[in-house]
Amino acid sequence: MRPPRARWLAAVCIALTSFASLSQAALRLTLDDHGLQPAERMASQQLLNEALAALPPQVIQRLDRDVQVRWHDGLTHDVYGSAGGNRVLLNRRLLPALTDGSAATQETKRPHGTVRREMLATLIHEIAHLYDRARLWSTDTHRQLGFCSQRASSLGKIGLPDDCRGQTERRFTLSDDPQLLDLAGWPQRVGQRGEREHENAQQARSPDAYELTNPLEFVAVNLEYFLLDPSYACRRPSLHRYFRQHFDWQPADIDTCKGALPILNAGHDFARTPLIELDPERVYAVDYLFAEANDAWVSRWGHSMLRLVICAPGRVRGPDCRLDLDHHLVLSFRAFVGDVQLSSWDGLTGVYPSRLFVLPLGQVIDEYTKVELRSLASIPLKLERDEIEKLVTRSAEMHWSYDGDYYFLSNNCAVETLKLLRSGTARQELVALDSILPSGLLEILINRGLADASVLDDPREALRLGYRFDSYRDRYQAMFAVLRERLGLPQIDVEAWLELSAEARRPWIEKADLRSSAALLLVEQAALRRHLLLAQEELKNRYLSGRQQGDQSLAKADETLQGILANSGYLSQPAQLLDGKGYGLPQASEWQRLESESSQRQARLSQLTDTLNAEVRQLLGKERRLELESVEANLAQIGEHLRYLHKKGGGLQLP
Amino acid sequence: MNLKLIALPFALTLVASGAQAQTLVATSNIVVNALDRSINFTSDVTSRISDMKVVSEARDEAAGFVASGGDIRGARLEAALGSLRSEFPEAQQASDLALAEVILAQ
Repeated sequence: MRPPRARWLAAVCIALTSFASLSQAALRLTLDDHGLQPAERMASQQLLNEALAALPPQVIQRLDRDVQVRWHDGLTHDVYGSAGGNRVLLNRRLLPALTDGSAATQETKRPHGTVRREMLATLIHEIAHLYDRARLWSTDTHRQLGFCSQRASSLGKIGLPDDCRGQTERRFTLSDDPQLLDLAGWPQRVGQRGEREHENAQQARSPDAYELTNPLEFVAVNLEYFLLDPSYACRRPSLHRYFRQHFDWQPADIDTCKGALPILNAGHDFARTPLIELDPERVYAVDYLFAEANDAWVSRWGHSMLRLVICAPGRVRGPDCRLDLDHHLVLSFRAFVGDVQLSSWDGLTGVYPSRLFVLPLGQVIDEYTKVELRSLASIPLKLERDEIEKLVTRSAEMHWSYDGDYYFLSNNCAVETLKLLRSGTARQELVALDSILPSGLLEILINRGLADASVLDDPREALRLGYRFDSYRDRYQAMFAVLRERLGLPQIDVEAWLELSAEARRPWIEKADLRSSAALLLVEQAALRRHLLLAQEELKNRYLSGRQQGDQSLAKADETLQGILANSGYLSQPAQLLDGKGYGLPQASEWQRLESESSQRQARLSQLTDTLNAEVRQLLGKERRLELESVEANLAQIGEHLRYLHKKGGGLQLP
Repeated sequence: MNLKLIALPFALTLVASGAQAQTLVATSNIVVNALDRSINFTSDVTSRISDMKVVSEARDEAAGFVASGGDIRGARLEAALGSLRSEFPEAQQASDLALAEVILAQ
């Protein structure tokens, strides 16, 4: 038994606290204990106290009202609770388990874990709705919203200042805030003056699919996790930051996040481990990477990507990281095409999923400059340090959660890149941008001072420092000019030279000096590239007609090809690797599964690729195959000749 | 600035047979990669240099540099020159051209 003095002291304390709460407006949760047994009352009151203790001080202070909480019989079996007016209803079905304590151990399949945590989350969810509806803006926000709605009524939407976009008809504390909507997955539709997408495409690794219903539910569900789940800060870092800023507060119990973010490298080298750790700290800069247009219809607008300038391990973060090219990564929104033909119609109507691919820079440079013969420009974005880290984190979140639809007109790479920049950096200059053209977006970024195009002023320096990667189209011509001059080739241009058979070109190899041999190497590579594309075209035509006519020799390659396509899907939708338990960015407990699953799938891909490599040449016509082999023999011979000349000329030898 | 900021009008009629999935991860790339064996064209003798990815990725640019007498100088070559100089003491005093030839002779 506790001594009387202590009891008296306790009574004084209670009196003081209730006095304090009377003098200061605050949220009160009052249990409607009508018809409750003492044990039920006690357990319920305990739950209410815990909910109140979990709420941000700002909610308690500003949501000044008495909220009645009642156990209610009329709720559907699966529903935990609901709210209306100043009343929260809890499903009475759950009361016995709360009272006898079994709810605390009864597990659910959802991230909250137990039935009791779920009840706590329900209370928070419903209070979050009340808070959201109460329009509890800060004084500054209030002033801004007043200004914006006044401007909107006098000027209309067209003359509206940029930072008023989305701020003229606000009705909720949080759920119609433009920044929240950007992070939540209801981005602006392009060219609609701020109107939002109706569907949320951040569907993968959601803690609770209910959050995707609408922004109101998104806010309520996410506040459950922000307040109750210590791992929320690491799983949804951007939203955690948003709520932390809004409440000027964060829960005491939050996990310390691992600095590095898990990313799957979708590069075509399947022999390499796809899972990489991307540390935002190691990203020196982010560039807008723009592939210039060419004639192919899907490329007419150019392509926009983001390049992460990542420093090599051990390098101090700084300008030198610009040349750590083999560590740089490219973020590229592309349509994921799981079939052999790209149909224009499907692209326009959004049948292809739009995915965020993370690719090694080297592969991207090769694909554009050597295969597609398009130049790349890499324009640094003028971002603050914290904006770079926020953008990288946001990109990782999208990598794990996003599965959108690709529309060439309204949701192409430029639109996706803009949305990522907007939600990642929250820069005011980006709020009112509308461009569906990759080149147009770049132009606007430059005009608004967000991208520094001066790096291109000196073309030689731009090339040397990697602000520009030239198409090999011009390089092949330049190499041919060297050959004409030094070897006296009779052909007029490189096209005429490449028209010759490989065998006809071969005698020139022996005659070449070092400079000419270097030029021959590149020009012969152009020949190889050309024959590879012709071979590919031949296969494609055979394949498409063979598929209909049941060409048996193609069946095996077809199977392998389909296998590669089917198996490579996970690289751009990594959520497939993990079962549904975790949400957001994968945490330490999920790494092991991630590692084993990704290396297993990669091994399968590697094996399929080997099979395809072995099969595919057998499918070519004899003439095509022999010519390919002949070009390869030339290349091997040029390599030998180069080594021979280097040695003979007493060139430098390194171990 | 020398960016080509050209936006050609979009027209469905442009769909041509050669317009296969260029910006997309599609079969064409997989097939071309499967057909391509150019990886084998470098020397069979492995060395510390030939194991350096930054060096093997710079081979084409080294060829352009040597062929143009030092005129065409790209970032991948620049990166490889830096790596060679920090990795090999004997490379520190060597000229860019001498190092480009080393890369080319791999």
